[in-house]
Amino acid sequence: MAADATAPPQVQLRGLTKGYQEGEQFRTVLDDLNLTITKGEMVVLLGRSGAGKSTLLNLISGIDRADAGEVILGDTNLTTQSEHARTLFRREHIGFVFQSFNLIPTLTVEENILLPLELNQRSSSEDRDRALHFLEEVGLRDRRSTFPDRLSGGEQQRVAIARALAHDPLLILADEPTGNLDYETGQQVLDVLDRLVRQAGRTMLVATHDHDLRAVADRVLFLQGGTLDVYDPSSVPAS
Amino acid sequence: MIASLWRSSLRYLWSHPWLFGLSVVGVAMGVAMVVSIDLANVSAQEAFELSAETVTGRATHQVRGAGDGLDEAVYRQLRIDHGVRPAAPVVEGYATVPDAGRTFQVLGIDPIAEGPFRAYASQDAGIELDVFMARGQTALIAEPVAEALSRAPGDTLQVRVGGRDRALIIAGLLAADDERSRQALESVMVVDISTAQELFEMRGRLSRVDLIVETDAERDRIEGLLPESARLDRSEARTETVEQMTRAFELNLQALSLLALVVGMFLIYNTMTFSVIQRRPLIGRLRALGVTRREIWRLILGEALLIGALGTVVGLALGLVLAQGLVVLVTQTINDLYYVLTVRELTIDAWTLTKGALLGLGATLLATVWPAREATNAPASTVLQRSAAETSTREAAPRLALGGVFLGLLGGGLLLIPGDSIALSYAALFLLIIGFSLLIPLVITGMATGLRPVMDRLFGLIGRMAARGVVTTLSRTAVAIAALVVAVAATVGVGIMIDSFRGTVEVWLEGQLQADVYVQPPSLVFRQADATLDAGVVATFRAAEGVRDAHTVRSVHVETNHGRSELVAIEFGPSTEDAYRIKEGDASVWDRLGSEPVVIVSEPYAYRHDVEVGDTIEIQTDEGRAPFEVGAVYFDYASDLGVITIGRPVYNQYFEDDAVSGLALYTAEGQPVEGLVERLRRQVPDGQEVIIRSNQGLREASLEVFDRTFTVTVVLRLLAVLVAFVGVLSALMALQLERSRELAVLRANGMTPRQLWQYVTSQTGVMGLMAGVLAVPLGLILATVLVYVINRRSFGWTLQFNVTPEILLQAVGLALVAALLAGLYPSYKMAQANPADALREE
Amino acid sequence: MGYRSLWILLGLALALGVAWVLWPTEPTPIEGRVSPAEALSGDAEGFLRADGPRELSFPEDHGPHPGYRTEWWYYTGNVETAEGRRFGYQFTIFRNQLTPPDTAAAEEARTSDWATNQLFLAHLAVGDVENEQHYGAERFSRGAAGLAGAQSPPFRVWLEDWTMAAVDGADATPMRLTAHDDDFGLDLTVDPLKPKVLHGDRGYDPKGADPGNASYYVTFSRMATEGTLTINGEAFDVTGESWMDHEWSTSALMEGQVGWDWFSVQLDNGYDLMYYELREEDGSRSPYTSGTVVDPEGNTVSLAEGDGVLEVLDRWTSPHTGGTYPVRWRLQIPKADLDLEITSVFPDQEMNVSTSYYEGAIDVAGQHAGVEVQGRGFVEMTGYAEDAGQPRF
Repeated sequence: MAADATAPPQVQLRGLTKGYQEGEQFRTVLDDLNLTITKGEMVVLLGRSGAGKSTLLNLISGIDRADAGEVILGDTNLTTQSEHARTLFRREHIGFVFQSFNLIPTLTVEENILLPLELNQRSSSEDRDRALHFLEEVGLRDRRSTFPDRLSGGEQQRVAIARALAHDPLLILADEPTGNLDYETGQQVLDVLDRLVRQAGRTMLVATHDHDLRAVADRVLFLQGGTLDVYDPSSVPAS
Repeated sequence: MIASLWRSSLRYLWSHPWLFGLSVVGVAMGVAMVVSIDLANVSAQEAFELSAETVTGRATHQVRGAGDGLDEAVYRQLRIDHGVRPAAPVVEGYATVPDAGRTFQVLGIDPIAEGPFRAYASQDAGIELDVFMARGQTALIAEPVAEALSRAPGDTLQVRVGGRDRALIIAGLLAADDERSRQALESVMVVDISTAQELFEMRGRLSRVDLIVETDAERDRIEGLLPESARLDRSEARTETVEQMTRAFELNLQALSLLALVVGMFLIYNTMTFSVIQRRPLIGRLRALGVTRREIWRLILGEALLIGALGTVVGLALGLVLAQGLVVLVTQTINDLYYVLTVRELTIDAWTLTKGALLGLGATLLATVWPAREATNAPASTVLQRSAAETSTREAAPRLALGGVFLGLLGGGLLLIPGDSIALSYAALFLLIIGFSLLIPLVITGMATGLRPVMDRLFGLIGRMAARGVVTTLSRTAVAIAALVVAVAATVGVGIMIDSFRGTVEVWLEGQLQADVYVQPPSLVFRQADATLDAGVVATFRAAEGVRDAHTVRSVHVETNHGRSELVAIEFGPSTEDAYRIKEGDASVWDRLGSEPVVIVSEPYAYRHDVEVGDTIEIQTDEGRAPFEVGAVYFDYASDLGVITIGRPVYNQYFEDDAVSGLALYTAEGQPVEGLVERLRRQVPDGQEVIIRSNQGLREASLEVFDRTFTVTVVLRLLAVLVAFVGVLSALMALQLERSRELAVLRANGMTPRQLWQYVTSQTGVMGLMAGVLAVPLGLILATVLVYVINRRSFGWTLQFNVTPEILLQAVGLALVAALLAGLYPSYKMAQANPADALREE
Repeated sequence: MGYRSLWILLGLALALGVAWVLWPTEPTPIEGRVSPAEALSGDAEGFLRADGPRELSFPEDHGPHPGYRTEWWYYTGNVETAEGRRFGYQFTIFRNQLTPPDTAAAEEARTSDWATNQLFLAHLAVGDVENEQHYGAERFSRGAAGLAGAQSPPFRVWLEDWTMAAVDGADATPMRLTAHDDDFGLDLTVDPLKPKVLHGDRGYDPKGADPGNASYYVTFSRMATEGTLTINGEAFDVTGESWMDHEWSTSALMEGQVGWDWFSVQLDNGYDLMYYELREEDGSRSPYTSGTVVDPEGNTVSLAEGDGVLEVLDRWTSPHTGGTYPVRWRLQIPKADLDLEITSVFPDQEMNVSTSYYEGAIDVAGQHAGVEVQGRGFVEMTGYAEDAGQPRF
């Protein structure tokens, strides 16, 4: 484990419960879920499609609201915050990496990366330089003026990672970051994540069904039946 | 606001140039119509006010007489015997200058008395009395007018008054001190009062005496000095009365132009909704990144504002151009129906432009509120399918329909409120339109279901897909179809209204024109007989060979307790009773009309002044103010201002006036009418131009004028059609362009370009057909309100509802053609494109 | 980037723009001038001319003489109240014929009562000697439609409600003069104390070498006057003596003549004097100087060129027009054995209406046939003020 176990908890989930009405039935997706992630920890969350990985990420980022339980990020209890406050918290403290990259098609690579800074009204040159440094780190500095639709999938995802890091968030959330990529490109993305997140001591939660990601994880969890289990490779078939 | 988000917005709009451009065009056309109509109205008003101000000058009050003018002795009495000063005599009228091709307001004054009233027409302005007054038959015209006619002082100017040609010598030129005065003076011709009396055959009479009265005591004193037949009025009161004549006409034009703006709003709504729905995933992503709802809201409104601002700027420019044409039409109509008006130039009214800009931006923002809300409520998400929104629209359809029914009922209820508020009627009309359009999503869902088997039979799978596609993309198709329905219905409603009107007038003319030949002097305002026939002409024609019988009419303007009104004195001819269709009252009125102080009034008169059979109208006569009983109300479509009709024998008892404004002749048995007309034309004495028309000729002339007065309405209708067309084009085209991914999938799966074309056009065609069909009932509703409520409240007319199948077919055809055209470009584009590109695109 | 401030700036600009366009502006009245048709103004061609003596017949010749271009009825007088408060007055009605009598336009059948080529003007003035205050007013009217006109018999000349008319219709005299302006007015009866005077040759009074440059000129040189003057609402009952001229002509002044100095004097020995000089452009006296001496019985002696010597003793410059007028003279007429000093009773008696001239009450003192005499009268001077027209052209 690279992370310091004595480090303060960065993410605390307590008794998190969430369900959806589906037609006549009510389906519980998360059931009294508890989790603590310490600063600098890289947690990989495995689970089948529909197991509730995305729901969990949405709850942690404040996009969605839990039926019961608490989400505490750093010193902030998101559960008690208004939608507006959660949005502001999110833009300031959370970086997102999506399965479908989710770059803004009408903004250039550079503008995409600077967007979180702008949203937080941080436009000092140090901030910008740091953000652009990440672009360099992911090896796409020469593509800074390109629009996303001219980039390959792997390139787009590397831009998305740079964007997620640009404003130095408390926590980086990734939802199937390699899901839309072929093996080789996926490996490149994993490499970037390992280098820029794990080795740099940033806190990250990755939801995926790609077992390869275990390679870069400090801790691997498995989401099933609405609760988290410590990963046991023998209990899960490889994807 | 965040610069990157703005950049993102702009790039989005820029990458959808068709959508962006067409919505700008939509706003622009709406604004252009409102602005141009308003400018035309304002210009007409300004021209009228300017001309009123020019001839009124600084006079605060005017003394006028009963009927046709005031005995000039009243002036002497006031000025000399009672020392009422300042006072100025005025004889005014209109003269046409054939060389200039237009009509001038002729102001006959005594330059010596003018100083305090109209400095430009006074001795002090530099009028040479030895030419202007002493030579007589002289006139002053404005410098630019003389220049345009290439005339100099001393040259002769041919003018025509009441069909008589007269030569005036230019005694000098009016040079204005400023721009406004220049405009004002360009439409007047100043003559000596003696010349004016001779031009207008008003020997011994004045049009009015102008006064400057400063205190109430002075006013009361003067009123006490006046003889029975004269009265003292405020100058503004006169101007206001005349201005009010055209108010309903102008209001209706304004409402029609607003209709265009409403269609424009649908267009904007459509664009914004489309862009929001298309960008739902993008917006969700932004929300996930931490963009707040307020920021999204501002972003969408900002985009709308951009479209609104661009559209407004283009619309204002377009409106200025359009107004140049419309002002001619509006002026023409005012001249045909109300009074002589020359509009020399467009008044570019800052308030109109401001209003246009506010309306353009306001309408855009209003139309964007719903889509912006929609965008704001988009949940922050990483993956989101559009179908959720579509489902919600489909689920909302019954709720929308319910709201529509509610608005419709509200509109209907407003119409039931008694009173004559035209604004309220239009508010109700707009409620009905919006209510109806809210029903559309539900109705088209049903229609699509119904159409599916038909389309299946006709086009197979593709047809079925096309019909189904209308419903699966309901959130946008509904708006597009609603816009189309409203636009087409507006054209249907206005079309039916015009047809009903024309039909009614035709039937009425048939009854009204009982005589065989009509003789009248040329008149400046078609619907008003303001000139007189020479007594010699009347005598000659009455006695002409082949004339069995004749009767005359005399038309004058009188003051009544309801204000100024046209009074028509009729001689009873053999079929006078047949010529009038009585609405209220009974036939016994004809006997009383010949001998008793009884009048009959036209329907618009009764409506305007709230007069019923048995009421009393007080008329200022040469014998003083006299009461007349209203014996009947008759149908009349000649004047929306209303007419009082009186028997000639009774008229002669009250008015010292033996002039004749028109003559109706009946041919003897077996005499061909055309032959008589020819013979009469040869018998016209030199010096007067008279118009001799057969029954048929007069009917045609009347209908021609009718059509002319509706030209502006027809033009507005066509413009509304144009806006509708652009709307449909943009809505449906956007819809199809946006589906390029779906179409690419179809292409990839082996659909040929030809099949693709079939698919796209059959889908737009289905929508066009739906819109056309739905436009028919809404059009009929609009027509009903226009014919039975708005026309009645505006003009007091009862019209016969008249629907021709052509108008309805036209509507469906219009919608269908626009829809099919809208499918052409997208299918062409998709057929040309490489499906792979489309699939690759996000 | 300061997007917020950009928006504020834009909003401010918009608001300013809207305020600017909506700011209410007072509409200016319609103003204009008339550039005249100079080519149309005629000359004296076609008018009747005073070209020789004619037998005048009265009372008809008290009335108007259409066909001649200019005609006036001119009353001036010195009156005082019972307490001796002195006033001068002038009341004149001019008839101007604007076009010759036989021009084509005039011959056309004109049906309007307002059609006319006669323009009437009236001048009214009262001089308050005590306060050295001169009140003047002018009116115009066309001589038609009952607004203004002249006739005899019965004698009546009027411009609206300003009238000079026979008291009793049968005789021209006595006459009643009535005219009121806003601030002042008069209502006087004037009755001749002597028979009328026909100046020159039976009333034919040449004013230039050309026989047409002359006028017909009839005077009542001394009229008993009684009535009321009104000044600013205060009425003064007055008595005194008046002078009345009635003169008609077509072109009285020759080319080069710029004005005249005209005196009417009533002496306390019963003699009356009329004397005028015409002035040339260069300031010299025209040879056509004329006058008449009327004895107490009404017998007249005509004066001709060289009969009189007029010497200016004092001058006054008008603050209104800048014109410098003589206000004290010595007039010697050896032929009539007259040597008079004439003084304007107060300097500012300039008449400032559409033309500017001097019409003032005068005091006279001197010798007549070696005997001390005193008298009163009026002086009229034209052509001194820069922009002065010629009221009696």
